[in-house]
Amino acid sequence: MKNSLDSKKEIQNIRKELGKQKETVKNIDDLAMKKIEREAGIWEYDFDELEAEIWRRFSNLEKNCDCISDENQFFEKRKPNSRFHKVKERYRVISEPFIRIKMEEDGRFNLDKQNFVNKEYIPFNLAVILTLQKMKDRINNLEEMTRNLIKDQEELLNKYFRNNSFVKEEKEESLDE
Amino acid sequence: MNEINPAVLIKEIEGFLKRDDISSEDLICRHLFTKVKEGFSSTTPVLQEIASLISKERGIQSAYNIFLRMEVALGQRKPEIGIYDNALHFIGGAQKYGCTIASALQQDFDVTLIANADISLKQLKEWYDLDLSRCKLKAVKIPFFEARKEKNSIFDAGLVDLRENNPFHVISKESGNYDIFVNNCMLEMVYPLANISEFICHFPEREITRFFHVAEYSHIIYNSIYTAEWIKKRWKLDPHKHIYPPVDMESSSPKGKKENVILSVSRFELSGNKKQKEMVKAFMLLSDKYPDEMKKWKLVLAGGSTEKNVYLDKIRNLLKGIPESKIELKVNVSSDDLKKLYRKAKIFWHFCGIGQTDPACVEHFGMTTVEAMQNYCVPVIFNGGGQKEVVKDGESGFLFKDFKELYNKTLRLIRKPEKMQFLSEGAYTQGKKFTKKIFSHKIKKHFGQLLKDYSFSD
Repeated sequence: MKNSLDSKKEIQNIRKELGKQKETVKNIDDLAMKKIEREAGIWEYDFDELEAEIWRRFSNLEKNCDCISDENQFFEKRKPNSRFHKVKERYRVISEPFIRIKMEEDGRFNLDKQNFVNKEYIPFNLAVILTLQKMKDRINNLEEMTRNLIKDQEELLNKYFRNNSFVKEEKEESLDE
Repeated sequence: MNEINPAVLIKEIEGFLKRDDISSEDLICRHLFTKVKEGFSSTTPVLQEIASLISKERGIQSAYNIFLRMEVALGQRKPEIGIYDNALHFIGGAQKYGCTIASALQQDFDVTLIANADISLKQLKEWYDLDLSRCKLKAVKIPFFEARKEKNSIFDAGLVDLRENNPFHVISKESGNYDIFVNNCMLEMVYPLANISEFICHFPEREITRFFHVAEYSHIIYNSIYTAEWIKKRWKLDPHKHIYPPVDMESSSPKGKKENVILSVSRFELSGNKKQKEMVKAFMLLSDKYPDEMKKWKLVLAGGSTEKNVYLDKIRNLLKGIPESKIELKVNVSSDDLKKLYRKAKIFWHFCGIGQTDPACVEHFGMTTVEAMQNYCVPVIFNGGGQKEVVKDGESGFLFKDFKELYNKTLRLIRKPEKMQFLSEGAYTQGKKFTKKIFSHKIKKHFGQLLKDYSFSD
């Protein structure tokens, strides 16, 4: 038989015992009895790590080749009335209803498939955006460098002309003498 | 004494555990507390059995928390508070905030200050002039930072690799040893395990990541409305309690004779965020344009700095050729000297935030402005961040949004002594709203209410 004083002592002992047991638990998730942090995703990468990851995932892309190519760019535009264009247009009209049905069956309302696609493509798109941002930064840096070079060039030219006119004046003076 | 049937009590606890919400633990604790208080007797170790049951269903921490609360509710011991600050070994406004909480609560709570580096209570007492005699100090080292830290450096949470494990879980585990855990360093990566957890936010510096746990805290206490706005904007959370930081720079002796001094008190930060360089330029420009008005005025730049400081070197270079009678630099001055400076200065300049786009670089509150105001010093400060909560334009000082406005308002003060007198009185009255006494009262009230609910005294 116990009285309330015994109960208080019992509470204290239980608390201390639980405290000791608690110390042995290594993983915080076991203490909180839930997973408190999600897995690390591509979002946690910093810019350089993300870029490295892109090149690792898409190894078929050429790493050092960005939107500015050394070669001259040219664009081929198909003529609207060409035979190829007409055939393509006719094929599109015939195949559209079938394609629509197929699309609906395959993916448009297939949530699992959509999620799978999203999982693959959202990080990829993010990576592309970030890479483009990096290219933009590089272009901005180049523009800044160009501006500075132009400024230097102007200063040098001014200096040159000033010196030249000075030489000229000197020559004129000596001629006068 | 009521003899109870252990099987019935266990059945009741099982019923509470079936509820899938957080209040079930509250209900279990209250139920057990009532039974023990009424004085129940049992032939079997029923409480032990209940502890095992809760451990099994809700985890050891949950069971521990319930019995921890029971002890306090039954008056077996004082409630324990752990106040964590990862920069406690550094002097700073946020750390003063935490230490003042400790000082205010040490009478009614067992307070432990949790640091990450070695520091003594004596040192804290010296820095903040606070009585911490009943507080305890505990240093919990974080292996991740121990491997990286330079001597006496502040742990930069930005170094944490978000793809690895959260290094702050050492502190998360420590938080579970207290009735109340206070996170005073706005470190969002600490997961609170205590029964009550308070997150003190001086500014939401970092974005939400996978280590973000602020939403798990019982309350968010914020230092200014500016901070609250950014908590909502950046973290999408509603902060709970607004308590302005404690400022006590009021001199015990009556108002002394003022001199023609414009004072600035700010750390010489490497980033130049406090804008002392701009102050030098602004003062020289005023002196050049208005030599008659400015000839008797002097600018004093006071503030703390580390040994090697590139920014301070830049200011020293800028001051070459300018006599000390015009601009004076006072680095790492003692508390007494600082008080003297406040007492003799007529105007206080604070530029932090001007030209900034990053909200973290704008003053979140501005303790030095209040210190100046408590010494009848008229503040002329940038109209941004928490500063505009401290000063009412035209009543207790002047706010400016650009340099043109700064020049106009400073000159207006210099030219009109009666305006200076009026604003000086206004600044003093306003400055008294942020004293340690008011802060401690608010803290005691808040934690007193928490304790009341915690120990079922309602």
